Amino acid sequence: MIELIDIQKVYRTSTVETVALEEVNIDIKRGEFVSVMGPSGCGKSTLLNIAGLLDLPTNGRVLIDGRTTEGMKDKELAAFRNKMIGFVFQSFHLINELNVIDNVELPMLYSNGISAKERHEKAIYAIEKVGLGHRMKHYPSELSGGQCQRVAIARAIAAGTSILLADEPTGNLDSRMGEEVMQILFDLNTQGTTIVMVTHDEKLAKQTGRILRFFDGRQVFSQVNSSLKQEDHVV
Amino acid sequence: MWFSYLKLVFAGMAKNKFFTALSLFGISSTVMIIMTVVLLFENSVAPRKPESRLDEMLFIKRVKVVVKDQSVSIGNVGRRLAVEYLAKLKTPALINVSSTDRFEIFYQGKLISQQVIVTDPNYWRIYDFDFIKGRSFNLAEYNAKAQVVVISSSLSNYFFGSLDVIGKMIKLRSQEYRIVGVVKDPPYTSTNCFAEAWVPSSLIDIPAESEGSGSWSGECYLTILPNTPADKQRVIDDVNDLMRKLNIRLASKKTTVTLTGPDDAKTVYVRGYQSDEEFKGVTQFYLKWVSFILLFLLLPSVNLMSLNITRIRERATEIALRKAFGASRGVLVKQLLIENIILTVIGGVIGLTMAYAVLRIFAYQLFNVSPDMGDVDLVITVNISAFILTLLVCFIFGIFSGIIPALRMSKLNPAEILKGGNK
Repeated sequence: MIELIDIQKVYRTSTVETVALEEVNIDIKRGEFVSVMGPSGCGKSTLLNIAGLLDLPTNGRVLIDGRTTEGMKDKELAAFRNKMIGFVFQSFHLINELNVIDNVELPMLYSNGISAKERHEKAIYAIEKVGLGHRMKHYPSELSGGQCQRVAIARAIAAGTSILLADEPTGNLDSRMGEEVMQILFDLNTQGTTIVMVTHDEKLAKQTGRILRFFDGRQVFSQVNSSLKQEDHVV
Repeated sequence: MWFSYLKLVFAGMAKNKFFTALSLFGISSTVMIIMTVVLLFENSVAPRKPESRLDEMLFIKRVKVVVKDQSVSIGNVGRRLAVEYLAKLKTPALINVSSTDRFEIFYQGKLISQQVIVTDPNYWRIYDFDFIKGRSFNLAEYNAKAQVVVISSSLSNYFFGSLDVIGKMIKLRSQEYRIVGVVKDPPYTSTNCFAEAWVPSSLIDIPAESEGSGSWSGECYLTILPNTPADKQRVIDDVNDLMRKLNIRLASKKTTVTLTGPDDAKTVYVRGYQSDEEFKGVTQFYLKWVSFILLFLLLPSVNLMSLNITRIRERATEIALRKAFGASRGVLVKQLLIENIILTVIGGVIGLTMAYAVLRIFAYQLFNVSPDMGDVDLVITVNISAFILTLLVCFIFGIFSGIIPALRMSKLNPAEILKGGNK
């Protein structure tokens, strides 16, 4: 579903060159739930941004659903992101001036061929799926952190995207709210959504299908969850 | 989609009250200044009673008389030239010769100096005044040099406190005149026919033809109403032909008489601000004004632009989010421009309202008339073309001030912005 081939990402300023990712090769299958772990600054978020087409690699290729994204223009990339990928951020990033349903409808505003009615119905379906059917007209400031993250998840999946990229989705939540959010992610994964989640939480990561460990911009370890009775291996 | 845009625009405006107030002030004051000028122009050339047929009319108001090696004079048309020559055009048309002056008007101890038009009976056929009482002076009275007068309802109320004044006598420049009619006041904006009283021009003698400029320049202006709009050009040709022949005859006296016009109402108005040498036609005038408006818009646009740029940081998360969820740069630029245009249109409507208020409050000064008669009808309208022009100005304003911030916003790197931030 997501193939990263020989990915290198270098940030350059006039005086400094920082290698964020080096020789990264990852193949994430459809329906997988993968955790990305590693110390701060090891390139986890950069990896997620490149996989989500928010950033371009300096070298290497990104294939999503078998399609190469190399050479895609801004408009194509935007349409591709809209159709395929949903994002969940640590800080939720909801628009405070819009209520829950309008926030969830936001990505679909940029989808071709979705009528207002259909958009509305899909948004309601997604909000109900994350258990916030009773909060549709509420504004983000009226919700708890966990509820905000659930709205963010609803926003990410409402258009029917098949990939969900989550950057520390429970990072700003207490353990109980974190568990609620994780449960929703597990449910979505069970229903077929491919999920890549950056996390610092070992316990959460171990609940996912596979853990990719990064250090200094390189993928150093790929660990298949033992509960699935598969092997770990050093990359 | 549009509803969501609008919701965000208004939410954003409410959230940043200071910015909104500052932006709206800049936009509305700019639009107000532009629209004041536009409305002043439009209201001065708009066909409305008693100038209902203004679009069909032609005017001759100025003449230049050059006596070689002696003198050059520019003024209104001389009575002889107006009555004996121009009023006898071959092309069928209603031709009126009038002159305007301030007269001392007196009645039972009350004295007032007011604008009076000295005119002929064709005046009442060309301009459609509403007669509240009585009638206009007729041809028989005109030919008999009867001392009759038509007055405005304001003047009637001022002197008599009533409109039932037919047959009463008032004094104009110490001469007794019998009132034959009372008309509804023409609006101040009807610059070609605005007055408080009207008397027959037959009371004034036509001067004999003399050497120099005396016979040709004077105090008159002509209003011509061609029989059909198609006759307009024929009238113009006729006048030019007449003047050519006159100048041939005057060549021996080394005199050249050149008329300004016949012009339509818009040209007359535009000419008013320019000398004959400067005047290059109405289109050129419009182009000059459009250039001026664009130039005038530049400063507040740059101001709004800088305000918009400072808002980038504030809106960065929202923009980055939209980008992450599939808005292309083009879509974002379009959206941000639309938001800016909505803001400018709101400012524009406020500006237009302010311009209307300015015209009402400063009407006397702007239309260059005296406010002696407090209750004189003042008609200022905002027609559809003025409104469309406002929208157009706002659109240009919105594009000017929005494009650079929009392009900068659309270039934001979502990955960088969405890394941190708050709820």
